[in-house]
Amino acid sequence: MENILSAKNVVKRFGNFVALDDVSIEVPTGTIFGLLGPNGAGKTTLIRIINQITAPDSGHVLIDGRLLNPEHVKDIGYLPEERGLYRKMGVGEQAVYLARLKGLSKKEANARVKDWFARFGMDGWWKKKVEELSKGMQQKVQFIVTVLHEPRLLILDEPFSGFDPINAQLIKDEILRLKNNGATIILSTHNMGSVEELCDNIALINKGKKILDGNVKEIRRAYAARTYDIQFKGSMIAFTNSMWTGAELIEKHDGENGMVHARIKLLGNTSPNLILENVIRAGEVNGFTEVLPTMNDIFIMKVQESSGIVEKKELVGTKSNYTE
Amino acid sequence: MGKIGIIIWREYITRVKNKTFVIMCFLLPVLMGGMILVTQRISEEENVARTIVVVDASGMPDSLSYAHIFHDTADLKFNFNYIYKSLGDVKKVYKDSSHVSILWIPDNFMGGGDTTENHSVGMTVKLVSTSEPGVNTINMLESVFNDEIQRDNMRVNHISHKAVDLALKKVAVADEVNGTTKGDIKAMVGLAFGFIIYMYILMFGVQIMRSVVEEKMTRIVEVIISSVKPFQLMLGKIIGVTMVGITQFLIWMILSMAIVVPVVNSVNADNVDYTKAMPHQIKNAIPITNENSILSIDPTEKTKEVIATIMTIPWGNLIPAFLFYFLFGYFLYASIFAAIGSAADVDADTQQFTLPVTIPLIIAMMSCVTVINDPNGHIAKILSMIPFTSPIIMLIRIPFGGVGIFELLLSFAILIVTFLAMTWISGRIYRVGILMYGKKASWKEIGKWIFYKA
Repeated sequence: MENILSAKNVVKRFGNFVALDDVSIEVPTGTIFGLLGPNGAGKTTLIRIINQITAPDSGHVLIDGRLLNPEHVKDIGYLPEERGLYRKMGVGEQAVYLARLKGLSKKEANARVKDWFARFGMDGWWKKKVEELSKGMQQKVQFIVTVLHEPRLLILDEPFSGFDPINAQLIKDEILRLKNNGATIILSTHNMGSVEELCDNIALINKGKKILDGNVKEIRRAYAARTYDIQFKGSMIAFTNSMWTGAELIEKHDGENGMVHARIKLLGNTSPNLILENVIRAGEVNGFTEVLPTMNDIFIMKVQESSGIVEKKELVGTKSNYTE
Repeated sequence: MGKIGIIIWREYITRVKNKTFVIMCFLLPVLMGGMILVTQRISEEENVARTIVVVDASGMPDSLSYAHIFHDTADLKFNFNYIYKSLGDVKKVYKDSSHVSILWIPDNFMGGGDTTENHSVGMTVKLVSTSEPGVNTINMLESVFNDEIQRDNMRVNHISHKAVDLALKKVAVADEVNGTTKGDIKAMVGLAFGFIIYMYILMFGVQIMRSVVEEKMTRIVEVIISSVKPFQLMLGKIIGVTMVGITQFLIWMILSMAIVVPVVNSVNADNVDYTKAMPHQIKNAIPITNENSILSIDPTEKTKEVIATIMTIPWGNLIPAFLFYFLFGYFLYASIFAAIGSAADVDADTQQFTLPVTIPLIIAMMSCVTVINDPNGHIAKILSMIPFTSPIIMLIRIPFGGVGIFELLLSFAILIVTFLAMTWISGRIYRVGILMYGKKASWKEIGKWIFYKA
């Protein structure tokens, strides 16, 4: 799959402060890419570089293999985290203005804004001033402004913050619809739930350095701690004995009808098959599933690790002993 | 339309459609018209002649009485019918009359009829009125008294009439520079042009600053500069606001003509005509001595003189210079105001930075008097070279003549170079400043921004 965006060895300094230190990312066309990192990690700086708001000190950014240039402005839609609109300007007029700055003709911009207003149930908002709208309504307008010129690359910085669940779902659906229509989306967010739900690939940045990147599913597998959930009926003593030294019980709780939910962690080179064989002999097994770490866990662990807050911690079954 | 064009259009149209703009456009000429109307009415009121009833209690014989030194003028009529009545009686007669004052000469005035040395000599007369007689009336009366007393004293000391007249002659200084007179009209013309620039910079420079702060505060700036270069946005904004200002001035000019001219005409129609009204004002302004003083100049001659003076102003230099200083002086300040706006985080922050910027403007306005008094002096020459003051000071100097073409071109050149440098610096500050949220920048920090890589 070709990459719509690749940033190569990007470095950006502000005075003595290094905002981005040799960061490279690859965003495959037609995917949703999560750009993750704690506050102040350098995400916004990277996004601003992609938007040509600032230029890197060294390194470069390619769009479809071509060096970033002013022609690309119309290909990119950007919803900044700190977003705003002109308070005293009519909503429709404002959307048309911003679309024209992206290169749409006045006529085209008018028609598209009307379409989007209809789709979002915003008919009759045209003449309203931004200051008359609720925050959620404003954010809808901002989202429309971002996608109006049908950019091939969308950069959304915390797109769900401030939305109620219904509108958040509306935006989520729109993001997926845009993806299905061929757009590529870079999602910068702290909401790890939505990363797991939406993102195909991620890059994690901390203190200006990229500390993790790759496919979300692969990353979660790679960081899986060989932990499994078992549901079974039978004697708890027989169950623990059956695992012997191959696995340890992390936690358990009793369910209905004598069903026990247990979480175990495999030890040494024990294979899940071996454990399952033994457990089946001790009772009736109703379920056996691998527990993948959440992106939230991985985020916290990697950031703390790279910040030197904790020593490398065993959330991790190392990549080498992972088998598909 | 290019992207700058789209920005200019937005900056322009949103302001012009704003209610404040519309109100300002109409209100100001209406207020001006109203003010002219009111001042006209007031001066009309003053022009009603005041009657001075003279009451002489000095007891001097008729031939020596000071009561008879007065003669009617356009503004004052003298009534001698009650000259030997008591003050109390005369007061009763005129207790309900406005525009009447009683001039009471007390019994000890100038020693009265008594010429012996030991009699106390009073130097005060009283003017009793039911309504304020005005400073001009009092000045006039005092001056006639003093003049007469001086003459008397000289006569008493056997100085001939001719010598007395000669001694009391007043000198008028006629200002003539390069064969022309009337420096004050020139000063007015220069000041008017300078003041327009001053007002314009303050009014619309601040608008630019506020608009930058607004974009930064609402964070919309980030959306915009992902579409256009920050410098394009800054430039579009400056040009857009400039056009708003020009529109406003044009509307004011047109409306002023439409409102002020009919108002003046209507006032003149039911009053006397304007040229006749004018010498009255001039007369009132000058302490009247005798009939043979300045005010005997024919009014039409006066107008001719004004026109002649206006004709001697080097308009060929002044108008192009005005347009040049207006545009570049304004752009110079506008870019600085834009940079200030970008460095601020909230509106209030801007004050810290605006003061140093407005100081040169204030210095220029305060130096006006010095420059008018000595249009080609050192201070005037220096201030008309400094680009932050030259747009105002040079325009005040030009009407007086004496500004060489070399001097003018040098001032132009300095302004252009400074304008380019300042716009470059402001653009760099602006570019960084608009993306710096959440902190108030220090001067040192702003200095650093200039050298950040784009």
